[in-house]
Amino acid sequence: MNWRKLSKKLWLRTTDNQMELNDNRADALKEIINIGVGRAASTLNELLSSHIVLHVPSVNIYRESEFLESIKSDDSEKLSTVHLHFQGNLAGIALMAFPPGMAANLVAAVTEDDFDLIDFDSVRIATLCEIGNIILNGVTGSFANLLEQRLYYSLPQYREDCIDNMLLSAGNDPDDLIVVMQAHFSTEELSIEGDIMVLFEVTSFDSLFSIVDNFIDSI
Amino acid sequence: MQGKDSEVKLFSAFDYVPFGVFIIDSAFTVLFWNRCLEEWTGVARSEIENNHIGDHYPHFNKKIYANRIEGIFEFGPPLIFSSQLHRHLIPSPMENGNLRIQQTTVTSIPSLDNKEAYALFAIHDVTDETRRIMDYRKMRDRAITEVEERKKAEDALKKSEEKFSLHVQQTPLGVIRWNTDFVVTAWNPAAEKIFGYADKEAIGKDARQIIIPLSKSKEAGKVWSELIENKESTLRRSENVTKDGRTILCEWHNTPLIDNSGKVIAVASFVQNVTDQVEAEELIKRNHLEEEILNYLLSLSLEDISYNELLDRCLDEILSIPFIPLKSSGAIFVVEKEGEILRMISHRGLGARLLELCKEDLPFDQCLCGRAIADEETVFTDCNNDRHNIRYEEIKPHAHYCIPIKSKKEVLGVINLYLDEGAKRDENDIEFLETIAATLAGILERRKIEEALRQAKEVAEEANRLKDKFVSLVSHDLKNPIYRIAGYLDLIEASQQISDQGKDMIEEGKIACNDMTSLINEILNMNRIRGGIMHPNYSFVHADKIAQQAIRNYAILAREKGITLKSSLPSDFRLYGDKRLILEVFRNLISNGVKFCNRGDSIDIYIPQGESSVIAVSDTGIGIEKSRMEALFKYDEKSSTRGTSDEGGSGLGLPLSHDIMISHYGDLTVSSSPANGTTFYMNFPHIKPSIMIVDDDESMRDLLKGRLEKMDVSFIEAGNGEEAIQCLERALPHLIFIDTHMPGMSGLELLERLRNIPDTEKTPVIVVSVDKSMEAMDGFTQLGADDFIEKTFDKDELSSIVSRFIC
Repeated sequence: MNWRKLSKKLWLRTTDNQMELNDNRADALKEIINIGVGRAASTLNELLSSHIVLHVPSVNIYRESEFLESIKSDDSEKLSTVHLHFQGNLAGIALMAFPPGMAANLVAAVTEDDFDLIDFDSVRIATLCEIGNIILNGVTGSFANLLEQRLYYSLPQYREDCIDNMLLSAGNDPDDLIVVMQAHFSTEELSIEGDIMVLFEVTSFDSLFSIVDNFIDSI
Repeated sequence: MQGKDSEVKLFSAFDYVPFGVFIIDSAFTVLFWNRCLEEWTGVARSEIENNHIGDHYPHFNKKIYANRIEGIFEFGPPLIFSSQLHRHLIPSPMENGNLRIQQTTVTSIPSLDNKEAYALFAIHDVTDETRRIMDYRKMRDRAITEVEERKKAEDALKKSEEKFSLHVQQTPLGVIRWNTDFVVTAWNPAAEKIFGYADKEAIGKDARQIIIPLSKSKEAGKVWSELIENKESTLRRSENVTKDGRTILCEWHNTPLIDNSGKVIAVASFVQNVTDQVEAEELIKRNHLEEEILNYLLSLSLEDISYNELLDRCLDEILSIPFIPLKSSGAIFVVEKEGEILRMISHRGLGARLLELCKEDLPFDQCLCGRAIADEETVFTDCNNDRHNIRYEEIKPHAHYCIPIKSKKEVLGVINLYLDEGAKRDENDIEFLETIAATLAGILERRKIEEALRQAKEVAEEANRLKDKFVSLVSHDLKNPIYRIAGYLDLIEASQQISDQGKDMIEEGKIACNDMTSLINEILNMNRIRGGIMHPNYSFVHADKIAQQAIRNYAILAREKGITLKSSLPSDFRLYGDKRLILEVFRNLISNGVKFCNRGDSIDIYIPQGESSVIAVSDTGIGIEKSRMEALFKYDEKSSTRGTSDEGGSGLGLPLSHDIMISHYGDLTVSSSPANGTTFYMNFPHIKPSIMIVDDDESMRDLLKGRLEKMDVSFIEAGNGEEAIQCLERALPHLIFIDTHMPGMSGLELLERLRNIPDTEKTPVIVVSVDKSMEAMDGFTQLGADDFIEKTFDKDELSSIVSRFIC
C-alpha cells in the first residue's frame, strides 16, 4: 500500500477495529503525545534554525493483527523509517515513518544538498536518524516520564522497508497494541511539508492504560 | 568519592576502545575522558576530568545541547548527533590540520549505585568514511551527468536519425544506396516514383538490370568503376529507363561512403528526374536564340548596306540556325516584274549546275519555290520527288523547306532551304521559319519605302539646290540692273537741268528701285531663313539701340508723311537674340506702321506694362480688317495692301518677321481693329544672363558675385576645372570667369577644353589673375580668351567688361 492510501485508510478507520477508548483516555493519550511532540518540535527548531510545526491531528490504537490486516496490500511501497526498541514496564518499538521523498527533501534541506538525492548514504542516514531520533525521543520520553519507571532503549536505527515487514519482523504478538499517530510536519523556511506517522507498539494493554489513567489523575 | 573512583576505574575499560568516549554527570562535569580523546584533542584527562565540559568546549553550554542531553540524565532514550549536523562535537585536529568528522551517540548509563544516570558520549571518527562518501557522490554525480549527456546525445542522434529517415522517406529526391557491386541496398519512395520499381523489386538488383538502358550499360559500368576508384562525389546527368520502358533524363549526385580505413563500403545517390526541366531549359534556350536571330535580322535592316548584301546576310543567318537541321545550302528568291516571276537574289552552297538552271527568271509554276509562292504556304518535301521541276543527274538526295515571304498585301519572295533526305517535317521549325519569312517581308517592304524616300529626297534636294542657285543668280542679276538704274537716277538728279516734274519722276523711280531692292532682299532672307541657311547669332543686345537704328532708316519717310516715330524702350532693356534679325523685324514693323498711318498718327515702340521680355510696336493708323488677320503672317496667297499714301509692298515682311521671332524661340502677335490702330508684339523668351565663376578660392568667388549681383545675372560656381566641365553638362553660361591657377586642371588647360567644346567654343571667357602682364596672358590670348581682369576686381573695369558681353 502506498503512503497516501495508507494515511487515508487509517483516517477513515478511526472508529473501526479500534480498541475501545473512552473520550477521556483518548484525549489524555493525545495530550501525552502532544507534550512529547511539542518538545521535539522545539528541539528541532533549534537544531534546524527554522520554525518547525508538528501538529498531531489523530491518535488511534489498533491491535497489531488488525492494523496489519488493514494496511495489507499488494503494492506496499518502502518508507524511510527510524525506529528504536524499548523495554521495561512498557515494551515495544517506536517507529517513525517519513513519506517517500520527504526524507530525502528534509535531509537535503537541512544539509543544503541537492534536492533530488538519488541515494541515501550513511551520512544522510545519520542525519535523518538524528531528526527521527528527536521526534521519537519526544514521544517515548513523554511516556517514560509519566510511567515514572525506567525503560531501556536501543540505539535508533534507520530502515527502508514496508511498515508491515518492519512490524512483522520484530516478532511481535499479534495482540500487541499499536498507537498510530499521524502528525503533520511542516517548515516554511525549508519548504518541507508532509504527514509523518509514528507507531508505538506496546505489549501490554494494561500498562498503556495505566499510564493514561495516571496522567488523567495527575491533572 | 570512593564510588566515583570506582566508577572511573570501571570506565577505564573505554580506554581500550578505538573511538572517543567521555562521560559527564548531570552537572556536565566530566567524569571520564578516554585515551582516544586524549590523543585526538591533545587534552589530557587530568586537565578536563572533574571540570565542566563547557570549560573546554563552550558549545555544550548552548541550549541545543543542554536541552537534548537533559533527558539522558533521566534514563531517557539515546541521542544521535549526526556527523552532518554536528561535525566536530569535540574538535579534534588530524595531522594534516583538518578536524575529524565525528558521529556521536549519547546513551544513559547508570551510576554504580544506580541512583543517577550519566551521559556516555561515544564519538566515532567518520572522516574517512565521509570523505569516501563525498568522493563517491562526486563520481556518481559525474557518472550520472555523463550518462545523462550520453542519453541526451543518443536521444538527439535518434531524433536526428528519425528526422533523417523521415526526410529520406518524404523527400522528392530519389535516395538510393548501392553496394560496391552496383547493387541496390536501399530505395526510397521517391526513387519508386521516378523509376516505377517498388523497393522490394529494386533492392538486390544491379542497376544495369533495371534503370540503365542497354545501350548505356558499358558506359555506366565504366562510370561506376571510376567512382569507386576516385572516391570522390560526382554530379552528372544521364539517360535512364523506367519500369514501363520510358527513357528519362536524370541528374545524379553520387557519393562514395568511405570507412575509417579509407575503403569504399557503399555509394549513396540522390537522383531527380530532370527530363521536363531539361526540355523547359531547351525551350527557353531556343526561344532566346529565336529572339536573337530575329533581332539580328531586324538590326540588319537598319544597317547601311545594299539590298543584295542584306539578303545575303539574312540567308547566312538562317542557314546557321543551330536548332533546325538545315544543310548549308539555300537561296532567297524575290518576286519581280509586277509579281509574275521569281529571281534568285541570294544563294549559298548551290552547285554550279543548279545555279545555271535557276539563274534565269523563274515563272511561278516552276518547282517547289513556285508552288510556295502560288499557294502562299510553306512547302515541304523529304526527298527529290517529282515535285521538283528543276532536276539534273548529279543532284544529291535532299529534303526541302520552301517558305513564302509574304506581307499583308502580297507575296514578296521565297526562302528555299535544304535538309537531309528523309528529314521529318517539324511544325515548330516551320513556325519559326515562317516568322523569319514574315520578318524578312517587313524588312523588304521597309527597304522599298526607304529606297523610294531616298530617291524622292534626292530629287527634292536637287530641286532645292537648283532653286537656291536660281534665287541667288536671279537676285544678283536683278539687283545689279536696279543698282545701276538707281545710280543713274542719282546722277540725273544731280544734274541741274531737270525740271520739277522730272525730279518727281526721278524720285518715283528711285522709290521704285528701293522697293525692288527691298523685295529682292526679303525674298533672299525668306529663302535663307526657311531653308535653314541663315543661323541666328545670339548675343545679349540692347533693344533700344536696334530700335533707334531702325527708326533712323524710316525717319525721313515718317517725317514726310507727318507721322511721329519714337522708341520708349529703356536704354538698359536687354534681349538675347541676333542683332541683324531683330533689326529686320523692327524695320518691317515700322515700315508697316508708316505705310498704314496718316498724317498726325504716331508709331511708338515700348514695353507693355507688366511684361519683361515683350516689345510692342504700336501705331495709331488705319488698323487691319478682321478678315485679313488670319493670313497676316502666312506666305501663301500673299497680295500686298496699298498704304495710306498708296505705297505698295511684297507682302513678305510680316511673314518673314514672324519666322524670325519663331527662330528666336519667341513669337510675333498682333492686336488691331479698323480705325483703331495696330499693335504688334515681339514676344521674346526671358533669358537671364548666366555667369560661370571658376576659382578654387571661395572668398574670391563670393567677391566677384558681390560685384556683379546688381546686374541681374545668375551664377554657376565651380571650385576647379573638372567641376566646371561637369557643370556645363547641366547648363551653358553666357560668360565665364576663370582663375589662372587652380589645383588639378589649370586655368589655361580649362580654357583649351572650353574652346574644344562646340557649345562653349564662342562663349566669352574672362581670365582672372594677379598678373595681367602680356607675358603671363600670352597663352590665354592664343587660346581665345576674350579679356583679362585682376583679382582686385575694379568696379568700373569689371562693369565695362561684363557689359560688353551681356549688356
